[in-house]
Amino acid sequence: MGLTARLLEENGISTVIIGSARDIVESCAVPRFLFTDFPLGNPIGRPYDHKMQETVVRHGLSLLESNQQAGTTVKSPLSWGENQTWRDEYMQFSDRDLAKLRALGEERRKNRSEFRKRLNK
Amino acid sequence: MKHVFNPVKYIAKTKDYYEAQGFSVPYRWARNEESPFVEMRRPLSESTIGLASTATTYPRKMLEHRSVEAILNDELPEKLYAEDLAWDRKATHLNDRGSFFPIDVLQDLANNRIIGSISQHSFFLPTEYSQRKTSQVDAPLVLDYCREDDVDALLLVPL
Repeated sequence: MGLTARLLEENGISTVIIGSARDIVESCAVPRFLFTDFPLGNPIGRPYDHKMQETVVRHGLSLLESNQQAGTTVKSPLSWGENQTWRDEYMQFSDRDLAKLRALGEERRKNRSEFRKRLNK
Repeated sequence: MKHVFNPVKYIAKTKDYYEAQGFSVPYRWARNEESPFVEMRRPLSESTIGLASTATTYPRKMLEHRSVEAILNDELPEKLYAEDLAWDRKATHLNDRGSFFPIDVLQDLANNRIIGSISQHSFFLPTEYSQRKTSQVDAPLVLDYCREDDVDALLLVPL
């Protein structure tokens, strides 16, 4: 999405990204970025929390009119809530999971290889 | 005192996770030092705003071909999908599209003249493994669609 925002901006269309993967978006360097520190999947806010979602969207759109510098990240002050365990739990694994993960990887590689073979037919 | 959390390091987490799966070459995320920037051509209250998402309007499978879709906002399905993307399935869900695709909020803002209008279409832009495909195929398509809809500014919401 960052690459698309950059191309649009190069062609005269302003953009703003609202997202929760701060390091990924910042690595790409995008014109305007509202960082919402929420679990991946709900960058606009908690499901069914319309008030929170509207606040986030209004904040994001306000960046379009502000005179900030290109590439500046603005952090939303809103929090996902009391439970913050998702921060550590996402893609977390221990030594006990290694065999399972390895098998998952093998399956993915096999599927990809078959997919490529089908594409090249 | 309120605890301050550091942002999750998704690039490092993803690298470790796929390394544990036996992928030896880590994914290289797009990397730039500077960003292009263009000021809004008119005030927000007079602007046409478009919306782009990495979700899809249909349940796309993991290795299924991915392409950009422009869907008339009048014909948007209530349910959107992202089963083939990486997001936090343990912490949350996608049952409320407003949590990642705020078309209803944008409509409210247009009704209240906070923004001029929303574009005719919304844009569904796949997350691609290939940066080349995003840069050379998908992004130019989104640009064309935005021009056709006279979009002044695009709100992009990656899951």
